[in-house]
Amino acid sequence: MFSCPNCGGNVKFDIPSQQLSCEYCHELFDPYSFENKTKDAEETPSYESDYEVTVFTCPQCGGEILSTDNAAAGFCSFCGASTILYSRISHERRPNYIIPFQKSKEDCKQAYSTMMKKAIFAPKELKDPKYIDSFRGIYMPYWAFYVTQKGPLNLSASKEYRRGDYVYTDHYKLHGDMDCYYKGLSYDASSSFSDSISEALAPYDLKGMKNFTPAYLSGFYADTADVAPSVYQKEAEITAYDQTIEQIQKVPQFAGYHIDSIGGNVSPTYLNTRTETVDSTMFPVWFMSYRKNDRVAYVTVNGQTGKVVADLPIDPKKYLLGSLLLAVPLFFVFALFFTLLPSKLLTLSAILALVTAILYTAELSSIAKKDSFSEDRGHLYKNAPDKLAEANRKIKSKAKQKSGGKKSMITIFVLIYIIMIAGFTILPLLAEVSINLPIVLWLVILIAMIVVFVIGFNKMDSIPGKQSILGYIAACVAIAVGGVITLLHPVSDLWYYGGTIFGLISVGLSIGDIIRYYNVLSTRRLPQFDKQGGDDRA
Amino acid sequence: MTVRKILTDKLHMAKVLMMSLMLMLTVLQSCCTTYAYAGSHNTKTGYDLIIDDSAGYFSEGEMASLKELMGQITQYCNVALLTTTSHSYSSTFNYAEAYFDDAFGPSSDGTIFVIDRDLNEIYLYTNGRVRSTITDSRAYSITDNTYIYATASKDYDYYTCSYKTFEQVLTLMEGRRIAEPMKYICSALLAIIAALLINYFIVMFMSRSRKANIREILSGTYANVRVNNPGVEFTNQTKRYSPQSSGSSGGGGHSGGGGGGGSHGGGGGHSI
Repeated sequence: MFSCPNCGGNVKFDIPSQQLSCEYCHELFDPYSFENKTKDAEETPSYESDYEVTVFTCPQCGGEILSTDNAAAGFCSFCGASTILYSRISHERRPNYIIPFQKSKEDCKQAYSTMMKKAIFAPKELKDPKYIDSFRGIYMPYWAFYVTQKGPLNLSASKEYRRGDYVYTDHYKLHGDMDCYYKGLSYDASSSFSDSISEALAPYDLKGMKNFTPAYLSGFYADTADVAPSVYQKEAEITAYDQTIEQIQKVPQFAGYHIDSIGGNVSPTYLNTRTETVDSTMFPVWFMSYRKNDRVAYVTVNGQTGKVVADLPIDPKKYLLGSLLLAVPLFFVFALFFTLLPSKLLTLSAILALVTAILYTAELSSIAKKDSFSEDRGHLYKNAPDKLAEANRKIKSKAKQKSGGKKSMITIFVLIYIIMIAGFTILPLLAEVSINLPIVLWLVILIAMIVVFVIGFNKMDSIPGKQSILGYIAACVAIAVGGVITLLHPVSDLWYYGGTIFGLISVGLSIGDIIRYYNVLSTRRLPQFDKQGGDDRA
Repeated sequence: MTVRKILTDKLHMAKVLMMSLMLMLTVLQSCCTTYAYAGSHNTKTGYDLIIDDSAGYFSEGEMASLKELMGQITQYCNVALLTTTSHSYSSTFNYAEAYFDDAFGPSSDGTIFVIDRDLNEIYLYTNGRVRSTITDSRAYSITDNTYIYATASKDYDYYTCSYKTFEQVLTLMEGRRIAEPMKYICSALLAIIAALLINYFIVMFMSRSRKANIREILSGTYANVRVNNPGVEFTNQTKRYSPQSSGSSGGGGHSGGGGGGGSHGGGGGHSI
């Protein structure tokens, strides 16, 4: 705790003035003026790079937050439990830098409220002013990488042109002296802070970074850095490599040359890419948690930019009411502008049943991925280090896919074109050999449905709570029944309407499951930490 | 006396022959279908009425009843009723369209109801301004409401099927409404399902947090990419054989413009 040099009152970091302010006499102080005072508290020379904090530990989840204030904390930000946290005095490794809070709690509440105005299906508790007041300012630990690329540049490049029936390729060497650096490529260093949240909260402007002094923490909390920087080092270097290659192509002398190494399996060291230093930093985050049963939702606000990232569960009652209201204009549109023939309705209900089953399966896959933390490297580093390499591989291949986004889009368009051409060629042929096209369509839908069912069923084991396959079964049966009706082609419409209604009921069941599981997908498993405290480098 | 007897015998013979002929005609009439055609012209509106019962499904009384009902429709447009057991068209729609063009002209206002036992379908064809009143959707609704009379479950009651069809056509032409219960039930169900799905996509879209792109991330870092003394050095040349396609180039001209413009009418039908 920092005391006012004038009156002895409690001083806290004041966001508007970016100074420490006394709660009683309102005098402002430079945060660095308390630096010596902190050092006085150090007991031994070995603690030179440490600072004294109170570590609060949640008795329920084991989550830890640090504070320079020793007042008892009444709830846990990680699991949302309202409980008195255990506290102990500890010495933590001193970060190199800190980005002080720029956005006040009021700014943060305002940004959150603005976002919540659009979240029409969110539970009312999430809009409750009392709940919104529970935002807590936490400094999250990040690693900031300083990556350089210096030395001679030597890249293979080519130019291609056609002359008659030959394509000529001229090969070149691009050379020069590289002087490239990236200072501040940052990755979150806390295993309890999900990578997905930290990636969404980015960017932080590291130009607003200050040298760390514990006084900045006054009035706020901090999370501990428990993930080694080596987890992200490769990614930082690949980012630097990709960016440099992109920029090199913009050098006027290299314009028009195609750099051969792009897209190849090139190591970052190719451009003499090196990590010079890794700085421990603290970034500001306003943090709030919403607990319901055994799930927790997080709301985070970037304390520098005010960007809001929130897990938004939905209230099923509000969702249903909203859907019924939307159904009214849709009903008029369907009734007035569409000719809904019974046979077409039957096919439409089957296609909808398949689409909802696919959505349901996609949702189950996302839940399974989220709850296994398979892409949260910080979590894996602490809890399942053996899976870290696999996670890195997945993220790398995802980044590659992203960088090849344009190529993928072109491939998709070409595929669609080929399928369309094949379709237009094959369908008349099928018609010539008297193959019943509607039956072929129904068979395709049924086979697709069975495949979706099998995939979804396999995901069920990793889904928390009651598992539901009723929607799947109903969709399979509805599609099979629809196929039989189409095959028998009865005169009476009642068969088609009956099949349609059955199909739509199966769709309704699947949507019910989708909504129920959406709340699982939009929340997180209650955390269970086993923190040892401190930075692994310490 | 003898002459009188002979004459009486001859008369008796003639009576027997006549009776036999009439009996044969009656038997023939009951065995074979009778082609019936009726038509009339509404002098006030100039619209025509045609009943072309090629299949011979209607009795004289039924024809009269239908003619009276259809006569009311001629206040608004041309109207025809066709029955057939054999035609050369690929669809009932094509058959109805061709008949309409022949009977009333391609640009006139009117409607034709076809009972097509060749393709086992009933079809309500509309053309001209009538289409704005009896839309395809409503034509389908009408045949949806009446097809059941033309099926085995109602002993192929083509008269009731036709009568109810024209009754509903008249209802619409008079500006009143017809019952479309299944259409509304299915529209309601479909609307609810569509609304649930649309809201799901909205929720998914709203909850998706936009991740910063690499440019935004780098704008917050100290980054510098500089290449001093850039140069390019030619090393070698390779070539590969890749013949140019000769068939694909060249002007292609215009294609014929498809078959658009020919079809002008519409309607709705139902298998029977």
